[in-house]
Amino acid sequence: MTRLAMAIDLASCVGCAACSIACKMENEVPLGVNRLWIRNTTVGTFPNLTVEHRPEQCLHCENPPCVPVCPTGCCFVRDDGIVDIDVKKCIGCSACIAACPYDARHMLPQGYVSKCDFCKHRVDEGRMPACVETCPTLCRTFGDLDDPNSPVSIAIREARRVDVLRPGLGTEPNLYYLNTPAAFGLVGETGGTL
Amino acid sequence: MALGGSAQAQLFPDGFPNPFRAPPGKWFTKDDVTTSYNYCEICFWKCGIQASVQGGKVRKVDGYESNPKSRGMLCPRGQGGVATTYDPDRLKKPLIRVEGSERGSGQYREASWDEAYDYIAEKMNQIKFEHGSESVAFFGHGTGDAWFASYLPGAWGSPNAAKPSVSLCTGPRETASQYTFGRGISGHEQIDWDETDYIVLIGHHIGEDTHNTQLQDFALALKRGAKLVVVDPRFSVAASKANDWLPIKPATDTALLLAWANVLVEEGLYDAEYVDKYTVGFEQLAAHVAQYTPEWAAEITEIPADTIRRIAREMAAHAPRAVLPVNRHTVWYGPDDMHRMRSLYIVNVLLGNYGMPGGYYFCDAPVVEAYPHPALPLSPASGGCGGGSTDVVTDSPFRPAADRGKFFGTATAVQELIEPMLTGEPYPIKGLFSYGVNLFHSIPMVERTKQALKELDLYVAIDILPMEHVMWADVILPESTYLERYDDLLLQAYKTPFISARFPAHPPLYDTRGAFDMAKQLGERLGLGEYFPWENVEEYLDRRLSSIGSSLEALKDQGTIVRRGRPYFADWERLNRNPIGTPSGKIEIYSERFAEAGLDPLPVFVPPIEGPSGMYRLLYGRSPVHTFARTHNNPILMEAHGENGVWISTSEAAGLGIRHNEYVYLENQDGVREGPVRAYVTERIRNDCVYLVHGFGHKTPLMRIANGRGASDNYLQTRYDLDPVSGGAGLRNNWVKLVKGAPDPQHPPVAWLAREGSRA
Amino acid sequence: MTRDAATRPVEPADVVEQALQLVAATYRSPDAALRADLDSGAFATAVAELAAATGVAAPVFQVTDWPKLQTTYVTLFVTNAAGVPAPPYVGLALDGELLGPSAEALKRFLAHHGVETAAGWHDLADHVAAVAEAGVLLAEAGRDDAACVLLERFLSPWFQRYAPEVVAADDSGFYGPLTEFLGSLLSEVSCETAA
Repeated sequence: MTRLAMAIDLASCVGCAACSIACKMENEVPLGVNRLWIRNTTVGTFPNLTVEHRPEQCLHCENPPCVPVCPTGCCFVRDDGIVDIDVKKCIGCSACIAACPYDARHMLPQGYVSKCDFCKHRVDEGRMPACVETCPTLCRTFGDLDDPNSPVSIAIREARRVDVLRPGLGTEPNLYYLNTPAAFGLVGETGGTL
Repeated sequence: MALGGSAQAQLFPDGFPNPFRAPPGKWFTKDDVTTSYNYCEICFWKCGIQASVQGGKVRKVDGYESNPKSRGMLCPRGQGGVATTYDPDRLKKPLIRVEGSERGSGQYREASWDEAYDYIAEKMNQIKFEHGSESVAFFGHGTGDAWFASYLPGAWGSPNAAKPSVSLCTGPRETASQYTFGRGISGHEQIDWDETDYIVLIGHHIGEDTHNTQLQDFALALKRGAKLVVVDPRFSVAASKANDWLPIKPATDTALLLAWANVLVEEGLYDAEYVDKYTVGFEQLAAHVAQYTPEWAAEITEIPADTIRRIAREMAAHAPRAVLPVNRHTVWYGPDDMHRMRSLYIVNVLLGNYGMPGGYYFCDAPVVEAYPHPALPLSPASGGCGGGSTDVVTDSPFRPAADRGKFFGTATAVQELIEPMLTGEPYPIKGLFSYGVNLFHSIPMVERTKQALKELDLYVAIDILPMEHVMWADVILPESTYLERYDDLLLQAYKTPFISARFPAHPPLYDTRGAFDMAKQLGERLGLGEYFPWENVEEYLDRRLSSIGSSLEALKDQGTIVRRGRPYFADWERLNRNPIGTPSGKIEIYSERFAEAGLDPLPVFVPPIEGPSGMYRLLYGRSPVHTFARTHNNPILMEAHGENGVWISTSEAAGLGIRHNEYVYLENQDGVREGPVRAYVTERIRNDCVYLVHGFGHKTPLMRIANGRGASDNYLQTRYDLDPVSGGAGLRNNWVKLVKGAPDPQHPPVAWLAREGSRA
Repeated sequence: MTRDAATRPVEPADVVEQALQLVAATYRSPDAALRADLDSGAFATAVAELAAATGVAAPVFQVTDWPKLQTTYVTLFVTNAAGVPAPPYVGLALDGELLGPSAEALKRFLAHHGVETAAGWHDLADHVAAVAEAGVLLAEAGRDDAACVLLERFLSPWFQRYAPEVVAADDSGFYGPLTEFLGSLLSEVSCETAA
């Protein structure tokens, strides 16, 4: 089996948004919406401070809440684990947008829903997603979780700490955050260590 | 007849029955995608890129592996900078200001290139006749500044050619480096990140300043386990990665550096063997820094003496793989600046890291012969961020640059050329070329600049966008963007020096040209044709490349040619050569040349100028998605960062009754007001200063996205303090207060502005 | 403007071609040809003919100050310190971006009909004047249907979007009235009436 996943090392990320803009150019994401965005948060008081720079995007959940709510079957999970949208079947009903607890989906002006698809067109050619390729801090890794030698498996294995967003929801995301700068884990999250 | 139902021939192409809806599929699904090599021009790190063109438009740029300055990666500006080429606000045609209209009133008519060149040449000749060729000044920034701030003024005969990247940026570090090492700092800071184990950043904004490979190297060093210390009044992004953050009192960094030198010397922690072999002046230094104890520095810097000692000892423990990287923008406080940079170099030298693995490496630009041309009558000392000029023009038939006598260094100081436009002293400057320099967002004292422009007989602006200062020019020459033009070869000094080239991804969209062509055409009209002997840019590039056995055709397929470097002393010693270019042939800790000129031969701490009470020192820095003031009309980059906020500490804001995100005005010590700008109330800054990201606060309605967003630090810089050694303009001696009651400007969404701009 | 100055009735089939000619002449950078047509009265005649043929009220315009006309052209359509009121690109009016899907569709449409941008044209192919000229070429080649598509689907939306901006910002006494007239005219002319 192939189980595609991404890991972002927050110890390296500086929140520069190169990933977000590379995504925008690569996927012709229109102005006004984003598949990938950055959340910067400060924790602590002067001079004992921590800043978390956290890119967010579709988490390609193992149990994606967006998929079962789709009335037309346009939201589906590929064999490699990418949560995908068949835009030809999309009627723009927005049920999936409402169902996603991470706000990862948006409506396009053309009337169908869009989101991060791990740059499936690149993945299908054996290339890395645009965000992974461009990142000047090399904080992103991508690959097959079922392959212990894939970059993402190695990064997760070697991380001092591994978190996912809102683990309590049972969505089982395939987007992992490594080495959170705050000792307690992700900011604004209850935390959850693999 | 019915649409599409013509009997003669099909009205619409096959498979595309309706031309009014987007065709299915994204750019990468099309079969007409082509790529071409280029180097990015959105900032001046000049990363090697490949531009992917589809349907006559660049859809994406990416780094490529074989280019040492991108290694296949790219920053947000490089990724999104493409949109500027397709900005409907771009300059499209040569324009001539209507006779009799006032400068700044924006009355223009279209002109042919020939007419524009003739107009400029006639005015230049008139100025030369009346005042001398030196009375035309040339300001430049960007790849084409080689033509407009060096070559053309050299051929024409004006020493008044200057770049803001020197006296408004790197001047102090370059002068300090020249007089300490006999070499400049290369344009990308020659830090041996691959090998270092301990990094001390002083006001260095890596992460907010997204110089691509520098950020890569920094991230990799941290990943490898290198320790990081950040000295900054603000908890910068770099500070958020640090093991130690030292929130220093602004303007006291030199005291800290001198105290570190004191500890290294007093405790015998310096690299005695290195110092003995490579330097002169250590004894004088040892005697000099005895006074600068950590306790002395603690009083000044507000950093505990114990911490100062501990960091010095940690540095020494990691030496020579401990480094204090030089930053780029070093014009901070004026008279202190050159000393601060010398102190920084000297601490590095005491650690024995200059020319050693894990410290500073040596680099030189690869040699590619110039296209043969007659010697220029003059070599303007415009310098650049790749090295302050040490050219001393002797036996020149021309008058010295109009800034001479104000400071010791040789590189021309751009801000010192404004006064002669107003006063005529030491002689009048009556003509000005501005190539890619934003006169109102880089040079302090904006009102003075505007007054000076009114006094000129000729003002020519060469640019991509109708920036505010551009709309004051007599003649506007629109330049093609980096995606549309050839340019000169990039000869990059680097650990592995390399050569890369720029190939147009598609023809220019409008009636625009590259600086290369403009300089030649104008040169020919000025009777300087002999200095421009090449046929065209392709022939020029091909001839230059033939000198290294390559060709334009070869580089078209290759993008970059990488050379071997000589990064360390050992590499030079094997060849029996000395990389140190000082008169003594050694690293000059003590500078005889400074002593002879009556300057301090060893670095001293110049106490900071204090501001009026109730006001905050105005600090400024960078956004990771913007460059200077030139990317603020780019919708993609503006959507990522659309307005700046003024950083103020939580406790000060509470005292002023200012809430986070509330709009305020900024008013400086001279009553100049900027804003409305959001208050960014944060724990991440000291109480005695505020901070703005530079480049916002544009005031040109034409720049429909940029216009009116945030506040400009430059408009608030109504004074500066000259560094008497380098000629740098210390810009951080301006103070502001926050004034409540500013209205919410209710900026429309960038997406709406981009689409519906003229209805804004 | 190649028509002779004598006023004569415009056949309905000629309305499209003449309207396209007028659009091309009006929105090209004011050059010697426009000046000659204005001075000779050919321009006014063509306007009057079209007004008569379509029943759209003829505009009142005059050009007394040629340099002023050039300056106004720049401030309305090229570069303006207070914002270009009417960027002359049909794709921008349709898509809100340059070289967007409509500009691409236009390019493909013209290529399909064998029309290319001339080497001396240093502006975008979807410039109002260029689109109109392409339409004239198509009409001259007997492809009135294709010319009409350009007029109805590409030029008309530009007038709908930008005519009010031109009218509001014009200080030449020329571009405002002409744009208002041409905007109304184009909204009247449909491919059915031309057929």
